Amino acid sequence: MTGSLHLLLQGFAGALSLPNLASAFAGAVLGTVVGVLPGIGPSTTVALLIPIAFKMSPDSALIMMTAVYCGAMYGGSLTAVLLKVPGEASSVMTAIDGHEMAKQGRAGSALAISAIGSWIGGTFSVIGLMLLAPPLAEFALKFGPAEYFGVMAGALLFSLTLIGGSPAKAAVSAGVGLMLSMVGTDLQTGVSRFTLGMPDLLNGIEILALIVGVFGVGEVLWYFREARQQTLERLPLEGSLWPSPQEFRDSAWPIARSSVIGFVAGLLPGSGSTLASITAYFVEKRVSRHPERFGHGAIEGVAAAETANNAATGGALIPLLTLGIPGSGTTAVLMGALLMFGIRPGPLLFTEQSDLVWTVIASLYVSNVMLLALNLPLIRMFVRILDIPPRYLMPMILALAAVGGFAANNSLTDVGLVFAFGVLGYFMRLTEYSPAALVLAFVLGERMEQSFRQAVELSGGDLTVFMTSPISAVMLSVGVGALLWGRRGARSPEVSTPA
Amino acid sequence: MRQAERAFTWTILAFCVAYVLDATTIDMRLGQQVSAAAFPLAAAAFTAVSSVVLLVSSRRARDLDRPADIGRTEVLFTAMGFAYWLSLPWLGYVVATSLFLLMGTLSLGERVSLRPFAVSIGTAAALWFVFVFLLGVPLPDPPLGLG
Repeated sequence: MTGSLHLLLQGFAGALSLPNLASAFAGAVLGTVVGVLPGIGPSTTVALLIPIAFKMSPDSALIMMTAVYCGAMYGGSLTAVLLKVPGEASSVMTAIDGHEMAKQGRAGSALAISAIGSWIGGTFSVIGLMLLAPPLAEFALKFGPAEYFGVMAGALLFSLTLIGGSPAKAAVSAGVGLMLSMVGTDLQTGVSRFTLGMPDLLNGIEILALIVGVFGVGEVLWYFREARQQTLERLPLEGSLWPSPQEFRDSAWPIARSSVIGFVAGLLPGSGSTLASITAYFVEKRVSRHPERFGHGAIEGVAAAETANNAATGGALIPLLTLGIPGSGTTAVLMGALLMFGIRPGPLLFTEQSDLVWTVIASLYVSNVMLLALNLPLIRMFVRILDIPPRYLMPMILALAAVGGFAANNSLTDVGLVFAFGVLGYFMRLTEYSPAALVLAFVLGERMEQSFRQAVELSGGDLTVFMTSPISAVMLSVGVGALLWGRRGARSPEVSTPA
Repeated sequence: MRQAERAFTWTILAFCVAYVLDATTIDMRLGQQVSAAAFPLAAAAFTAVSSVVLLVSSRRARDLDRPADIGRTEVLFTAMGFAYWLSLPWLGYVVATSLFLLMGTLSLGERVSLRPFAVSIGTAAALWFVFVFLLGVPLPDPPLGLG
């Protein structure tokens, strides 16, 4: 504990340096600004802004990306409240009561409590991250290739049941992601695979082209379809931007409970912030003395959903940083960014690059404070972004996606891939396949293959090595069990949205 | 299951078959215990089996006649995106991006006036400035260097 505190203090020294503070500030503002755009979720926001961080040092880039992540989560709540357009699935619960509050002229209170709840939930989860990540990373140092493969494959299978929609469709999406991750030169044998004779594919499919295409271009194309089917009416930002004492009292316990719920839910692979916000919302509805108010502008509903989905961010970073396993679409995008900056998340990160890790953890505190300080006074400015006509914004986002795809390798092939993956992402949404599962599997694919091959080589070709290692056996069993159980559950008529 | 979903699942299945055929051309003798083709084949098998399970289970389910209704805007923007990609080496970044933004804005209903022209050229120039000047990323120039 003392060691962690010492490292955290060192981390603060790094996080409070001028370049890193500027990165956190830029990330928080850009994340909120892009996150505010209707229909653009945190995954897309982070993906679109990765190229901006290209020339930064790894720590500044990572700080900026995590600040973008936190800012985008908050930005999504603005559209949820004022337009009833949740940027992603985790804001659905915010939209229910937040939009009702806006109709009652209480949009200011809804947005303020969501900023305060986001800050408390986010800060709580960073404390959890700080306490849990180091021991977990130390434990993970004992893992061999078989354990790694078991943990990655088990987490991937488990995530397919929680990622939303049909688990069978999520499995197909993940399978396609794995297949795409095999394109390029095999590092072990030097043989090229699935490159179709294209030299640009010898290094594999550029991760940025895939995530910017599937999330960025795919989401813009999807927006056109959604916009055709519904008319968006923005409600005015009325009322005080500071909640009343009664609203504070009503929100206090929901914020406290949802911080814990969100953090724990964030730890689960695949659940991300969606499960967190839904669980927290329904827990509050159940414990409330006035459950009938939920759905009709209950501030507790907004407080619970927003606190939980921000508390989940710290939880989701634990498996990402300690095991190298992203738990959701957004953390998969973050992992893609880490890999692009030459940072391999995993237990060794805490020993080999502890300065970097603790600077990022400290900067999460700083980003959360910065977001609160920015968002409360600047709500009216951010809301004005909603007045920019989509006929200008959407082509701009596509142009940004194209330049982002090009910037990774200065390759025009990647720009073509961005648009091709955009079409794939659009069709996946249209047919209710999960783009997040595809990206998750793509990010994990190469490491899963390496671990699998190393484990089999070390065991002399014995495939039972994955069952004789207790950690691998347990994780694989949990993953397969969850997938089978999820398939049974999916036969019920209830429909959920794929992430 | 809608027809569009079924068609998409069949497309993925066809992709798996093509992938497996390509994987069989990989020299299986390379690698010690596990060849370079093993994991890709396993991934393709996993995807194909999941797709078949979906198709088979959907035969029992009642067909939904919700249309997939791919709109004109999506098709238009996809075509414009690919045209933009192909035009980049010929027109250079600023010209190609300005044209793409202008066409995109006009096709979404903006009236022809000075404003969309100014916004398109301004945005392309701003992106060029950020990436070339601030981030040091070289963007495509046209053959005559007029980009």
